[in-house]
Amino acid sequence: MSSDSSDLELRVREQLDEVLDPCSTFTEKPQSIVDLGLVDGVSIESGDVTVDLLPTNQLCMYIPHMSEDIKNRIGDIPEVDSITVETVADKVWTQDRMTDEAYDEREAYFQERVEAHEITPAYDGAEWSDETTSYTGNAED
Amino acid sequence: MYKDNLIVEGTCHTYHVSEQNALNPQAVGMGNGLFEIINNLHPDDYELPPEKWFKNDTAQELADLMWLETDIDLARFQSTKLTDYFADGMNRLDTGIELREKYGEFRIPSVLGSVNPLADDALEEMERQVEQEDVDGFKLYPAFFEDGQTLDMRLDNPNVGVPIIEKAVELDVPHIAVHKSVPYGQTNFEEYDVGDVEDAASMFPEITFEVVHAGLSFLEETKFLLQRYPNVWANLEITTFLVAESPMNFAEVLAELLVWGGPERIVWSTGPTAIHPQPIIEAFWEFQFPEAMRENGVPPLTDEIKQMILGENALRMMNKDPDAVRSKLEDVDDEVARIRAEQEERPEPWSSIRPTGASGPMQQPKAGQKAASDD
Repeated sequence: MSSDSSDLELRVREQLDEVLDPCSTFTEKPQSIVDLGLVDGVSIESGDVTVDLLPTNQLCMYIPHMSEDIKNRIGDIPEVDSITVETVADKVWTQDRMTDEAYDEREAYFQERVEAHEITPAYDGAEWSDETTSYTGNAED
Repeated sequence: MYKDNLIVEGTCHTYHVSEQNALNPQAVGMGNGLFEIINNLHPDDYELPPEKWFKNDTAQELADLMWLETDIDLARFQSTKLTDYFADGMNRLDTGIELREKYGEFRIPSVLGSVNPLADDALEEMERQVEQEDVDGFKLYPAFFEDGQTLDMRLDNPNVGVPIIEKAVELDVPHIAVHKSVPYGQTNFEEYDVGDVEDAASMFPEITFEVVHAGLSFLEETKFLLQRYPNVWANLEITTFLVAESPMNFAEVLAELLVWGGPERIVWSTGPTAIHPQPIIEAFWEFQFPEAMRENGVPPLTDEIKQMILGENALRMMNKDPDAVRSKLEDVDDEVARIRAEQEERPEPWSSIRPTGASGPMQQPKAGQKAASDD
């Protein structure tokens, strides 16, 4: 890879880092699609850029919004002639695709909310809570 | 019943997606987009041909699909008032009424009405639907598309959603289903989060709020809603599609809802006539959380929990006793029981839906096509 194309990819990735995950924009801690691991790959041939996008689930309805944002931001780079956003269908997004920083930030925000609202899970990893009234069984299938 | 398990379909519709019904290019794009999504996700054996999607479904076609092609025992009908895109609102209330009249309140225990909350006569129309059509609640959308703008119809909007909920209380139909997660047409996606449901559930504890398409987006907010508000229920329409198409995604969604909200308020739903329920029912019964998730504190998905999700929860949401319904099902001698008793074999998928001449996606509406009235 030439230094020019390497530089272009760097700038493309910088722009991708500005694209926010739509769902996270409803929280106080919006996160970028890069930090969440939604960008599965970037390829550049001359000025033609292809971004592979892996949604958190295959029925994600916000792919068009993310694609539009990606195209708008990368489109501002003068050397870019075309942008294609491909949705990756043969992989499954899992939390371990997030950067460590993003994961920690998300966990911290989650814990803040849990504590602020005194939220406890219905299932603590071993038993159902008392509030889970109608389910009394513990039978393994 | 599927393997002796009661199946209550949480959401059935009669879709009307056609060029004649589409009011604008956005409606055409929406109908075509839905068709593409549906066919990308159905198993190959259940692919829906265009001549069975781009059409005006009848109550009888929906009934035949559910009673002849699937193991659904009871079904809840949800009308829609998407008159910003489709002249008749896309899923008409009258077909739901027709369905209930023919098959009775036992088989169709709930018919949800629908109004455009922005219409001047919205509250009067609610009264009419309750008094004349005997609806059991209302199905709402969080946004309306008009002249290129998104109009806010959120439940916590004091000028739009709140008066509708207050009217539902006054009319003693304390059930509001609200479409969430899936942006419709060109409306802003910001309207589809569940923050307004939280406010509404807090303001109106006497109302049952049913979040439709729960978990497909805003999973974290939805699981907190379930945990914090006993009057919020999660309807899994379309979300259940994941169990057959992408079981790992489905596992992530269901695990979060279960762990935080518990199993009691998760309501089975697929969404005929857009979606064929049978492969999804079968896939769910076979589904189990991956061992790695179990080791990380996700509960076992027992048969008891599956039974709750597949039918018992929806019945309890409607204040019906699952044991009484199951008992009645064993003895009932109604139209559905009779046609099923006479049925020698299950017909081919989608054979209940009669084809039209459509051979592919819709074309843009002709210039000058007028919107239908809003009633």
